[in-house]
Amino acid sequence: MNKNNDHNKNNNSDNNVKNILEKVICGIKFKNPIITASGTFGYGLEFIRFMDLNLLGGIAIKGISLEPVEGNPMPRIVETSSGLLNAIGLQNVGVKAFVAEKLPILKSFDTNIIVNFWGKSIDEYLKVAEILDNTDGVDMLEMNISCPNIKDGGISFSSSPIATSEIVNKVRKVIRNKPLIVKLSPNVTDIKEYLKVVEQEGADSVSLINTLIGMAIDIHKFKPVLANKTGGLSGPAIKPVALRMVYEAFSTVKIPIIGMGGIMTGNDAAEFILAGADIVQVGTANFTDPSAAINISNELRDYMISKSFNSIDDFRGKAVI
Amino acid sequence: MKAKVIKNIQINDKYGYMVIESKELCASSEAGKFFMVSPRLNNETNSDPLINRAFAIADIFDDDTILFIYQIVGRVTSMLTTVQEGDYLNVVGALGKRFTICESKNVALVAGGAGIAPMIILGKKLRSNGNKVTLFYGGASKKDIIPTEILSTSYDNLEIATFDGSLGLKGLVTKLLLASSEKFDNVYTCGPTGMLSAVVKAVSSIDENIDIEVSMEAKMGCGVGACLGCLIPTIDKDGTVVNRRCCVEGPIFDGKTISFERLV
Ligand SMILES: Cc1cc2nc3c(=O)[nH]c(=O)nc-3n(C[C@H](O)[C@H](O)[C@H](O)COP(=O)(O)OP(=O)(O)OC[C@H]3O[C@@H](n4cnc5c(N)ncnc54)[C@H](O)[C@@H]3O)c2cc1C
Ligand code: FES
Repeated sequence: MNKNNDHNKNNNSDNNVKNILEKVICGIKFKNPIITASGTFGYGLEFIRFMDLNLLGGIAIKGISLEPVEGNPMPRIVETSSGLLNAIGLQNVGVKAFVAEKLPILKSFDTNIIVNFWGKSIDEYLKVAEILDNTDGVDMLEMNISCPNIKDGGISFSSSPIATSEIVNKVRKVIRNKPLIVKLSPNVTDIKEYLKVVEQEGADSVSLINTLIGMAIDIHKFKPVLANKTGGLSGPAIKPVALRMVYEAFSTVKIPIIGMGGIMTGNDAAEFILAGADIVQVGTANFTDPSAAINISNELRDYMISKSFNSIDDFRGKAVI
Repeated sequence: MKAKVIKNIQINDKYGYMVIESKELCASSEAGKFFMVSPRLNNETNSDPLINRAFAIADIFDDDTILFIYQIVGRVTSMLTTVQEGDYLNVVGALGKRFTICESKNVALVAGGAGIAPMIILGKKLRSNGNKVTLFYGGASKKDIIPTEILSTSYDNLEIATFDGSLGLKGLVTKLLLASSEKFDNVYTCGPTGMLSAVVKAVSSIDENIDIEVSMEAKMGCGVGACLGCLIPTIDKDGTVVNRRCCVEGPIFDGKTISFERLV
């Protein structure tokens, strides 16, 4: 069974003191509701020298595919107003190297390992999902159907509710051991339609939002800054959009909601929970401060104490009920 | 981590330098390494600009203070000019690989513009290891050459070139290097990418066997190896092109392995 059931993942050394940050979703216990977001925290190992990974609720590993992927040409990143535009192109070491080289070290930490995965075809999705589902040390799977970067990749699977429904349905069937989170794209007209099909097809949880597709232009070279021309926008610039979509998710689905988009502080995290998130992910903030996730967790606890909230459920969705 | 600002001096409208205090940063600092500076001072939470900026470790004093030099080119470096003594910078570091320190050799340091920064601590370290150090220092004009008192004891010989001829030789710094009568064993260089490429070419035209280390620059999203935004194309011995992260596998590279033509 899952290692989380065997361990007490409570953050407090004194077990008599209630850990108000603790949250259980899909049967998995999180010592705090903060997960580092996929693509912003490498394989986790890059951050060992900056923080105690044991203090994190979870780590969402960068998107893993069946084969290694080199990603897009440079330039791949550009700063925009309160945001970061990236077109990395889902560069990753591939599932084999991840399981052989990265996971053994990650496993030694007392935190939930959520592996984000994707494929270039349905077949690739199924293969990588099946491998990860049967890999010890992986606590949850997060399926990326919405990466805007790769021309022949994720984008088509989130281009319509029908396409989303098909891929979730098929992947669901091969994932038998671990909870499946589906990560949704904000680049759609009505996110509620997608939320509904994802829940109907048996996803255990949804995470939202992935990056918003954007562009930056170099006015001296008369061309887009990114070699890929467009990229995914993250950071505080997208927070209001993300909050609105989490709020829509709260009134649309019953499965747990993992909210993200521009969370930099504990107060930002509180906003997402007030809008309906059970758990949040911290992304771009990891770039501006490698120990951001832990600071955000501490700030969220301070906020909860200041409002006399004893659990996440005490205020989850409170702003929108 | 927080670093207290001890001194912030405006050299001219293009350059400034800062002395900051952080034992933790010092403990991991070595010649060639860099650190990231947050656009948020003290306890600020403003998000625009958002991304941290990279600066080279220019010198370390008493194991607790660090010198860095900033060229004023944009938003954050302009902001740095307004920082007051007693303010706190939020920093991450030290990061990246250091220079290899050779021993008892005849060494050339080639610096362009802000590329002088890591050469200061490197020159001192090399000299204390029995090397003879010649510093070739180039800039667009007189203003780009920082005062020699900041350069401290980092060289045995100093040769300066400016593009407009306002100080030292008129022309590019590579001209100085090529004209030198010294026979160098090792070369270290830091500056704009175009200059680095020219220095690597110049050095191999003098002698293929001279070791050359370059400090590369890339736009950095994180500085810690996570964003994959800072790749530098390098060529392995077997001829394969491998993209390496400037922030983790660099910024110091063997100059002969850089594929300059692939750099945009
Ligand atoms: C490892 C490393 C060490 C560095 N050490 C030093 C140092 O010791 N002293 C120093 O003055 N600078 C150093 N730099 C460069 C410094 O990071 C940039 O000048 C700084 O990020 C500019 O920030 P800004 O907000 O002022 O400029 P922005 O407003 O972000 O940009 C202004 C202009 O500068 C250009 N620019 C921005 N960042 C870079 C960059 N990294 N490289 C080239 N051009 C850039 C932009 O394209 C734009 O045209 C270093 C860079 C790296 C990668
Ligand atoms: S700057 Fe992010 S990986 Fe190098």
